[in-house]
Amino acid sequence: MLKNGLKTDRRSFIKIAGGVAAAGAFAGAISMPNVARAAGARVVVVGGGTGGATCAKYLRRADPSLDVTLIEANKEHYTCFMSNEVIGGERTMAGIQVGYGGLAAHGVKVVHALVTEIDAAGKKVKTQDGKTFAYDRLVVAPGIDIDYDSLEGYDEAAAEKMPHAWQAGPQTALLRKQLEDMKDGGTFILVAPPNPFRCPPGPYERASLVANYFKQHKPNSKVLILDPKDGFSKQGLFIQAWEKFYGYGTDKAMITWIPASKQGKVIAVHPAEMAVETDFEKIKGDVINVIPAQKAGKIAFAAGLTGDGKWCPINTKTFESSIHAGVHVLGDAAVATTMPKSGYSANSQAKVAARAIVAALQGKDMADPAYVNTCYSIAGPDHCFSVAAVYKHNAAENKIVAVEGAGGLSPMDASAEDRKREVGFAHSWYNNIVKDSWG
Amino acid sequence: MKLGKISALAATGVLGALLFSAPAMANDAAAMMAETCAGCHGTDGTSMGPVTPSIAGADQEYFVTVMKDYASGARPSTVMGRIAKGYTEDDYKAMATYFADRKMGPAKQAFDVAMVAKGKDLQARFCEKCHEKGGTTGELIPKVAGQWTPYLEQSMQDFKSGAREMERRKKAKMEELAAEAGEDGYKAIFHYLASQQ
Repeated sequence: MLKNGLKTDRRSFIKIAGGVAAAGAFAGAISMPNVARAAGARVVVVGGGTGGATCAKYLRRADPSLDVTLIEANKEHYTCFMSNEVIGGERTMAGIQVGYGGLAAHGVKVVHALVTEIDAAGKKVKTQDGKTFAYDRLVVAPGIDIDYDSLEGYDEAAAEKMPHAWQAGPQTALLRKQLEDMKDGGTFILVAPPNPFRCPPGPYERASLVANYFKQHKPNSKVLILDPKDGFSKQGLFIQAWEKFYGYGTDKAMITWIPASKQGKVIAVHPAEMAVETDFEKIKGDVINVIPAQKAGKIAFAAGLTGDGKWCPINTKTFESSIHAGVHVLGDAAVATTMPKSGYSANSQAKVAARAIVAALQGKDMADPAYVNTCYSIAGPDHCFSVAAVYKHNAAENKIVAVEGAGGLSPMDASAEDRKREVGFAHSWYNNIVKDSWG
Repeated sequence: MKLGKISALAATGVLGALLFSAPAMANDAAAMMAETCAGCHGTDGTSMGPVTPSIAGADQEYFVTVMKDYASGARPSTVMGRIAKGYTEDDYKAMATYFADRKMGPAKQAFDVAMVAKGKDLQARFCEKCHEKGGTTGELIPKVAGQWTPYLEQSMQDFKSGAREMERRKKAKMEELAAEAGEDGYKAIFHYLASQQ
């Protein structure tokens, strides 16, 4: 109730300020309130992942007069999407690497630095190297952080032995190297995360592509998925693929999935012994991929954008933080109910947020937003399926709601040709979303 | 040149927004809808390929027809049927207008130079009546010149298998083409269309 009240007040204030600015302009006044300045307004974007990059680009497209600065610590970005192909040996690290030259070509000022402080009241951010950037509107898109406190025995040092590979980059390369070095006949353990997490079908796609690699190169090896859940995204489609390619459910199964109800929940990890522990037993693995619980990226916590939770509450139409006015949070870090935490979601949300920011800077209401998510999973040779949704905004419930009767999963009885075509669409999607976000 | 055009459009957009708020809102709503397509079909509808087609510059009526056919299942698809069901006919029209205003960038793909002349000749004799001016335009049909070849191959496969219905005239032309030039004839035409970059 209080939050809603605050929001309404803020919106009216922006409207009023816009009116004053317009009146002022006609009267020949020279000063304009900050909230209503559009031309030359400064937008700072923190984080150059899918959401941040897309937002920066689409802000400049929506209003080329905007002064947009994107601040990102890394000079290259490795996309999480398609990183499972790297882990399965089907793609190189260079094949998931993108730079920031494309954004610069759109007039985005790209600064490589780490943002350590956000002063929402003073409307400025500070970087580790001591620089300050003032803004009229701020976008925070920090993605996820691994919640190391959620799993006993797991920390940054443990991640060097038991990689999570859930933020693409060195962790991806490390896990791939471990799989290459593993002897035939070894066991790959994948510790799946609890909800909510980045890329809901991702762990199961990874298990599939590792099994595919084993089948070709290390046929006596096994994949063991230990899961704190009793179900997962695209489950029927994955299991169908596992039965088709990896003998799932037979005594020759290359993939075994242990759900929570069968003691699949890992309660501790033991890196020194290369073992994980459930309520039931201690299990040793040759390569262990621990994907723990996740939370919003560090800066979201430092800036108080997460409130009492692990993710950032927002207005799902404008992506403006429910906590700090003038700050928009999007992508994996945001609570964008009911969109999943995916690259496509982040890209789609970023465009809506860009429109919201331009509208706010001009002191106007924004148009009705539209969002889409499409997510492909490759589960074997020429075998891919997808989930899709078209979303509209429900203001009364502050939710992004999937249009009924649309979207959903690839059918269980799709032809082999359609499964093969979806591989082509998945790869085309990759090329397009990378270009759309960074180029 | 391209940037100049975008800036001009955007400037018009800003001015329009100040003067006529309601149409600007409608434009923004249409743009937001159309922008959701970019994840698969590329920024402004020019696809980076290799399979997802470019939809920039598509004939408006054709665009609306295709979306309806996807939604009804008249045209088979893997994912587009599921997506198309999420929009109304007005939404289709709004997106069609947006993409009709965009210029399609030709697919940057390899083609066999040696097959281009033959393809050009076959295209002129068997396809040109509908896919006019070397496949660059035509009424109620897609622009095929500069389109991604793997997409065209899949479309042709669906016509041949009967998964997609063909008009009688089109079917007759395709049979004539097959009788004269066989599979190589189609290939040559694809190389010719791909050569238009």
